[in-house]
Amino acid sequence: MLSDHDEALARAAFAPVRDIEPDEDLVARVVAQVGRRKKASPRFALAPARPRLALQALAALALLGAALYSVPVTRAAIEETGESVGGVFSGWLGGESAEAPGKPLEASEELPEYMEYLHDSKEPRVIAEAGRYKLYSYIGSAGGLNFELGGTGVGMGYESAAELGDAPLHLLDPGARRHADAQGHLPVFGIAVRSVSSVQLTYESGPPLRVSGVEGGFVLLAEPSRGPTEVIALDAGGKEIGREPINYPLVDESPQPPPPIERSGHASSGSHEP
Amino acid sequence: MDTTPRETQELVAGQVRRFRAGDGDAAEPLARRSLRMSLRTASALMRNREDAADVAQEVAVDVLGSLGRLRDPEAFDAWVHRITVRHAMRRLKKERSTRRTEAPLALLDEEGLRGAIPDGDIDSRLAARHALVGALSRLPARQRMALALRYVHDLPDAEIAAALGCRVGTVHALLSRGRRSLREDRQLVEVTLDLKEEG
Repeated sequence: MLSDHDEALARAAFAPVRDIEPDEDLVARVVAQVGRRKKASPRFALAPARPRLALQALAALALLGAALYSVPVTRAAIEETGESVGGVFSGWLGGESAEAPGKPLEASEELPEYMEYLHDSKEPRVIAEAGRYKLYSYIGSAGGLNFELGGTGVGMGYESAAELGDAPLHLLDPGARRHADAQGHLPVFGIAVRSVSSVQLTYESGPPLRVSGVEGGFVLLAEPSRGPTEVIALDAGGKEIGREPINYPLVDESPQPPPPIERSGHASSGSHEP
Repeated sequence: MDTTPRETQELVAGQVRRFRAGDGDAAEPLARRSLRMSLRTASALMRNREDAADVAQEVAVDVLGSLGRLRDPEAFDAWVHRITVRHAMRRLKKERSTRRTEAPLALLDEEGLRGAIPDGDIDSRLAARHALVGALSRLPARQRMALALRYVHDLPDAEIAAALGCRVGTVHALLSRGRRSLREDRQLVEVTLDLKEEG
């Protein structure tokens, strides 16, 4: 419960920094850096400079001092400012349960025998569901991140959320390609950043499949005969957040009898950690 | 005449549009605004003024360099906060890994303040600043960041959540735990009490 005293204390504690202003030298340094970058890009044409002598003098000083005081600016640094799919899970792995995607696994949830260990795992969650498929996630005993596509035997583990990468959308696998449902649908599943509220599966022919209510994860029931091409992530307003091609076969070229239980489906996903 | 927050937002959005259209003169007010916001946040978090200035500079250059990716020009402030969080968190992590132990009282420009503020006030503010740095350094980085965004910039929970990339519920928890830790820091309580009494 927040007391007035706590609020007043916090406000007073931060008061000394509330009115700090950048000095003119710092402003000029940034303007000079940005100006140099713009000049390097033909897309930006700087307008003729106005006669602001003080600023120009400071900018000149900044140019002279650039060698001594430079800040590396890379495209990677800028891209890092966007949401990443790893970020969806990093707070949860860091101990913030409120950050967890999806919903907690109910104690009453019936699981296949081989998955009953999930009830004893750390913070098991259901992060997506479609048809008979449920996508589960849980924290492993060593703190890693794990996923299970229920009833298929497909699971994968990551040592850290960072392994999921910086993209806003991540397809987990081709791992379930032998697990078509009664209608011949195959699960295409993955995880997405928090701003994604729906995902769309496009095909070589015919209308796309769109699923809303995405909350960290998704399962799409793909029709392999129509040639699924890519998964597009959309925000609440229908704007595209990211897309991933389906560049793996959904159906094995040489049908084989189903394996007993797969424990790894992602080449770079690390070891599965029960 | 004072401008309303809405008028300021529209003014800034206009500067963003001009900057994107190639008007170099729009760079200076946008750089200044970005620097002011991120410098205040970083000053609440970093151990010394130089680190805070470094973060602010990195943020401002990134902000102006990435404005092409900002969908809504009126979201400039949110964009700055978000980029500030990224840079500051990285810097805090680096700071932790290098095990820096000094905590100089360099965040306030002491020389600049003399003459503008009575000496007694400066001493109190520096003491409060020192106590704040000490108290914050014992908190997890995300708690520190949430507190700074709330009490430096008066951001509502939803905007803090957007900057941190987490849920509103998480912000509640971060702020609650952070305030509790501050309350339990006796040195901070004493100096801020002095500051309030003087004010």
